[in-house]
Amino acid sequence: MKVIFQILVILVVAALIGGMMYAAVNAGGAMTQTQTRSDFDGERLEREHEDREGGIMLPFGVVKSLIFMSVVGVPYFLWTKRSVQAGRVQK
Amino acid sequence: MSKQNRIKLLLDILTFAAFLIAMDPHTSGISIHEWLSIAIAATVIVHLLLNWDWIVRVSSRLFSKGLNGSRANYILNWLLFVDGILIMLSGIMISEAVVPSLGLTLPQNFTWRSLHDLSANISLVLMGLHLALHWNWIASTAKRLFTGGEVITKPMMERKDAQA
Ligand code: HEM
Repeated sequence: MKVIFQILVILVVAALIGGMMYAAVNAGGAMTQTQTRSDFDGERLEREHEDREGGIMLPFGVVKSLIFMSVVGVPYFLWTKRSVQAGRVQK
Repeated sequence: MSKQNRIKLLLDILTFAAFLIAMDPHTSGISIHEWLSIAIAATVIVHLLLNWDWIVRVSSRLFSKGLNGSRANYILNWLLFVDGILIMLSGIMISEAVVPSLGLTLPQNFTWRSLHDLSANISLVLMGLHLALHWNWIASTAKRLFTGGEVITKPMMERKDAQA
């Protein structure tokens, strides 16, 4: 019962935030730029073709993501670690 | 090591691996990308349920003194949550596999696509910070998972600030 309530809280909050985002995008007049499905697919396929021109299919996205997260996360980790240590010394 | 910590860590590792795969739809293919991402939403809900006590504790003491580290952590977690909602919503709006398979057609436009791209990139920054903030817990729990024994369950920032 408790877990169902917790899940409901998460879903209701997510629905509220999502609803606001949907309304904001619609209010921005986005729906006026409606495209057809084929416009959309055409563009994606073109891009996929460009992506594959290199020939090798390595998961570059995964490597790129890991590098990106490390570049952000490692300095932040070192900085918080130093702050915590400094706090302990002061005590 | 408690069973709950073991489950938490394994779930987090799986979710993270799935997130990495989701970040590379050109390698996985769009169908895998979409279905896997929907599964991530479910694991994120479980992740939140497993950390519910922390969420309630910090929410109720958000404006009290001496909670600096946990407060930053809390705000970051909210940003990650909101960004996750934007990724999912915009993903569903541009869906090429999940939504059509349900027999639905949604209005298409470039805004959702740009938002999907943007929110996915922002999630990398937020996820990097989220991992950094919890790195001590991740490292110590992982160590114990392979060696056995008790684990310090609180993240670095929380240990110092939130017990007052
Ligand atoms: C963890 C959640 C997700 C992450 C991290 C994520 C990330 C990404 C990324 C990085 C791209 C590549 C964007 C580009 O190349 O311009 C992408 C494309 C795409 N995503 Fe997601 N996504 C997620 C969830 C979803 C969901 C739930 C759906 C639909 C149900 C979806 C549908 C799509 C589609 C259709 C594309 C292709 C758009 C295009 O070809 O330009 N995504 N996603």
